[in-house]
Amino acid sequence: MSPCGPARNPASRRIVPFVVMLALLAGLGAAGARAAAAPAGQELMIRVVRDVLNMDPAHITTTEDHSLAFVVYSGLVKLKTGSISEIEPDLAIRWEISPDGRVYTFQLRRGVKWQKGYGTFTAADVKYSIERIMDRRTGSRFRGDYALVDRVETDGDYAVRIHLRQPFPAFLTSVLAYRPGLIVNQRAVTEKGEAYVSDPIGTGPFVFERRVPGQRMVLARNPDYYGNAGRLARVTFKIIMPDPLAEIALRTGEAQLAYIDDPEIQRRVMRQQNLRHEIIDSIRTYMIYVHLGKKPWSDVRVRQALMYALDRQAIATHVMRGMAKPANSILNPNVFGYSAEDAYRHDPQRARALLAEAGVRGARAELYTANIIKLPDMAAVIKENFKAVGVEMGINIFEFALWMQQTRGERHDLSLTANARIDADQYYFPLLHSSARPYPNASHYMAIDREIEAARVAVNPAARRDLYARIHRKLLEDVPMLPVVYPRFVMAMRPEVQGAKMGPTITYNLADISIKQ
Amino acid sequence: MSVYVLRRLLTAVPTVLGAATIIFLIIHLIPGDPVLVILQEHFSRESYDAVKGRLGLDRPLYARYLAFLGNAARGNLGQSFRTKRPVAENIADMFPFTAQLAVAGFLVSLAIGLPMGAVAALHRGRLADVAAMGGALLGVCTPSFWLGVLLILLFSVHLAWLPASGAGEFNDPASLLRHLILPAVTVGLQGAALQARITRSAVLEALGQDYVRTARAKGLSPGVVLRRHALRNALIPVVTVAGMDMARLLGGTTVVEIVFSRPGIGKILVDAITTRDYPQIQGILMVYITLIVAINIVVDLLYAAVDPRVTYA
Repeated sequence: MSPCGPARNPASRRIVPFVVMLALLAGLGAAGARAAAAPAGQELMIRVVRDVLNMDPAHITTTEDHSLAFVVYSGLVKLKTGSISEIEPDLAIRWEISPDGRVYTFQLRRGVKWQKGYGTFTAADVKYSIERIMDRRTGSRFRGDYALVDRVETDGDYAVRIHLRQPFPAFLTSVLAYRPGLIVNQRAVTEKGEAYVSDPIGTGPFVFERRVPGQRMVLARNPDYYGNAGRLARVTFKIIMPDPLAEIALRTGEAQLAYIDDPEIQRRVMRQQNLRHEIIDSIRTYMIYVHLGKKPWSDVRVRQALMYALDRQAIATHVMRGMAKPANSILNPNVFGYSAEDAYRHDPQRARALLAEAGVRGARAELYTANIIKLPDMAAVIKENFKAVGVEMGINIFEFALWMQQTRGERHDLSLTANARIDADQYYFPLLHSSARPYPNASHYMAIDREIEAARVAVNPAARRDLYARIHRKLLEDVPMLPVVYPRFVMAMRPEVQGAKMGPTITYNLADISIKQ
Repeated sequence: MSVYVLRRLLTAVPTVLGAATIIFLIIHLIPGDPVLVILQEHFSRESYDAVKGRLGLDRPLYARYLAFLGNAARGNLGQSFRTKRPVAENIADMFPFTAQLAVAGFLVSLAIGLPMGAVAALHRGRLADVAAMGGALLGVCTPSFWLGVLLILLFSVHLAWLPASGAGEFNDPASLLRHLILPAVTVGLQGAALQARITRSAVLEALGQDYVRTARAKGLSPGVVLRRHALRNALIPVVTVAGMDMARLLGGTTVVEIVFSRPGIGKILVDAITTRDYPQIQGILMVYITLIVAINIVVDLLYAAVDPRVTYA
């Protein structure tokens, strides 16, 4: 090009490329989403941590999938808001359990319409939904939850009978009222095929309207819902990842309701004058597996010493900022079968005496944990607790998938984790039954198989509770796992949100929520 | 030129294929079982077998590799383990947001970096130079997540001028722009710092050339000398760095996406790696590789546009 180049209009040279770039920027975002219709009625914006991955009940994985699925779908029964042990009718209006606990007969609600014109709900949908999960080809993560189901029979359009191979008293609460129990429409699933995961069809109080990838999911009230759908016309689940940003979103109005997990942010939100909050006991328990197959941890005195050395109150106060309670059991207090009995207090002197009695000096433990929630912070405090009684501890922090693999590989002496379940059987069977070694029974504990199996099939609730109390006392003696704390979480909301409650499984009572104008 | 382009495109094929193979092997060698990640508290032997079968992980590695190659050749990047949706669809959902942010950040880095570097070169050794290079050093050293949080505090919380999270509405360009400003500035400032330093060096070198001395001797103003002579010839290294910066932006916006809770490829890649979603990881990395190869080709072609001495047979 000549150094003296042709003369050009400098203004157009500046403006035109800028306009082109502006159009390009806007155009790059035009990914074909439909324009939002103008809202009619009350709307609620709920913060969620991540995008919904999958809206097919056979494959729901995350808390977000679960929160959304529970308002789009229905089950035969459902958990009462705020409870994980009391159930109430949903698609089934009444049910009977045979005296031997093996046959569940449900009378179904009539006139229930599937969303988006997919016909009327019948017993065939229940049979299809359960058998679909039981089918290995579906590849459902809930297949094991139905392992005890022998067969499902329909009796006309409005009765269904589920036959179990053995009694399983937790079947209603932990299976049918929970994630595996949501009912799908056979025609919708087979017609939509792979597209079904993004376009669910349920019978719940809200209809899936649209998803803006990575930003939000929008649900509209189901006008045909058989129950009380409440006053909200539309609910948006808005993705706001980090808790600090959720706090900002609540303050600026970008979100109206949010579940906060980080204790530091919980404290800040609770101090906000212009926000309201509720503190909810979660179903999570932080716990440490002790590898009983390795010395010196195979000696019960050493494990008891660790339990005396562990300062659970300090962890609850300082790591969890007071938003947790010391744990006395791996069962969460919300769970059926929980016992409040505790045999341990923070007593380093007693711990040292037990270690001396066991002839252990200069022991070293490798603790494995994952880099999620508060686990690394807890590990640091636990290290100091054990050091004070003469047990050195190395902390090995892995990302979650690697932690699971490492724990399964048995290289750990101790493994710090958190579990959230809704029934005692869901804790004890996978975590402490010998058949679950080496994972998830990372402790390799084998001493209470008979009690766990007996409790699993105990039809009488009082007998079942008594068995779990005996298991708890045995675990207090043997200490295969060290319970640490029970965390709480905070549901924060803007002042215009009325009537909001959250269950410990992070589901929302949308039917009771209204927005004060 | 067209022969050159064709040759570059043909050599890109084995590059992409080789990279795809290495990615496939590395992903499958990373420890961590995707089935366990999906099952978590619902672990049981029955569930494990069912999920493993559905994901195709019960087939030998070579069979999975061949299936992957065959599908990729047909434009099918497979199905995400977690979402069960086509990987291509997940990427197509997110890519526009990442591209928006990368392009906007790129423009910010050029808009700030080029003039800053040019001014620094023109006023070498003086206050403007020191200030510009000091600012550039600060930009390079400032972590993007820290800068992003500061901008949110100032502009979203205290001033309430701009939103703190999200990406805006597709049918509302003003909303898209409002949600883009803070993330783009966060991403662009680091690139601007680098651009400023490279531009300063390149312009200083150009200003030392005989043709610039001649232009000054002819009585041309400093601005004209800079714009018509020095800058044009300084553009080759600047274009090279700009190309690398664009590639960095396309792959490096993850932290900013998380800070501003913006959708994007980076975030779903991090999620995919955390959950060992092999098809998702492969698909996203294949897209990145293809884009980087394409950007390199474009940068090489731009050399010819910028410098008439450069020709491609």
